[in-house]
Amino acid sequence: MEENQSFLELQVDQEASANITEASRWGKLLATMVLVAFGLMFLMFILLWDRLAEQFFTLEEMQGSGSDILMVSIIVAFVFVGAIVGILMSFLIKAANRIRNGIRNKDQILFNSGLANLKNYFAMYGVLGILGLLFSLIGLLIK
Amino acid sequence: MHQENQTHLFTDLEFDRTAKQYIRSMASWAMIVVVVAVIGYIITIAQLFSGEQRVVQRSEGFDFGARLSGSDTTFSIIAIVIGLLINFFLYRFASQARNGIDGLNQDQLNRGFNSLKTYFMIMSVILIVVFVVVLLAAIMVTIRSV
Repeated sequence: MEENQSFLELQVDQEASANITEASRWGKLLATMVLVAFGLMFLMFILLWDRLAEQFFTLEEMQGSGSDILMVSIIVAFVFVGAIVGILMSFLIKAANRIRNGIRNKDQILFNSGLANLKNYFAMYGVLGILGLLFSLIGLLIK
Repeated sequence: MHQENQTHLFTDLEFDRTAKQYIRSMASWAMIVVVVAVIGYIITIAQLFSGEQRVVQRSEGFDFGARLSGSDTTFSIIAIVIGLLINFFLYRFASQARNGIDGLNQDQLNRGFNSLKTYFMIMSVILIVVFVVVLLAAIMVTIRSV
């Protein structure tokens, strides 16, 4: 403890590097799984569209253009959300890779750029959270 | 002085000025995420206990059946409790990392990164569980319809 606080500069010591490496490993797993889950959800939507349409539309509506328009709009929404999720998770994956390689190779610049990516991830997450909260508040007021 | 030089010989990496700035900024954003999440949970709880029930939307063949049942309330409360637990670790990361950087406290900074590790770990485990449940449900639906 005394040793830890005696230096003026904070070090990436053994404990710090172990914690940061583990955090980046779990972060990378999380980002990969989110991307895979989103891709699978999109695939399931495409494959099960006929069954979903049966639940929402009558036979006449299914034969008309109503269901096609709905399908296209849902696909557009999927692509839009997918792009946002993709950018967010790419920050986390890049951060994890750079931080781990930075620690392994003792490369200060790589380590710092990994931290910058992690900061970007939290910044984007925060902005999306604020937007989500604003939209839900607006929704509540309109109701 | 001798001890300091010896340490720098073995640990080349340090939290330099740039790294500290990034960690401070990261901690601020993480705190914003926590605050936003908690406000969201408060709104959800207020909606749950205000007795407000969503009107069943039925128009042009659409019937979403959006009615708040007892099981929905239980599910929402469980989700909020899990969310609070996850955000507690993010809050700990944000506060400990900031205090560690500002107070040049290595121990606190290390504990902050440990909390970040726990945060990502819990998120990953929950996602794995959700993933397995959804996959099983999809398989069940497919088998039943064949």
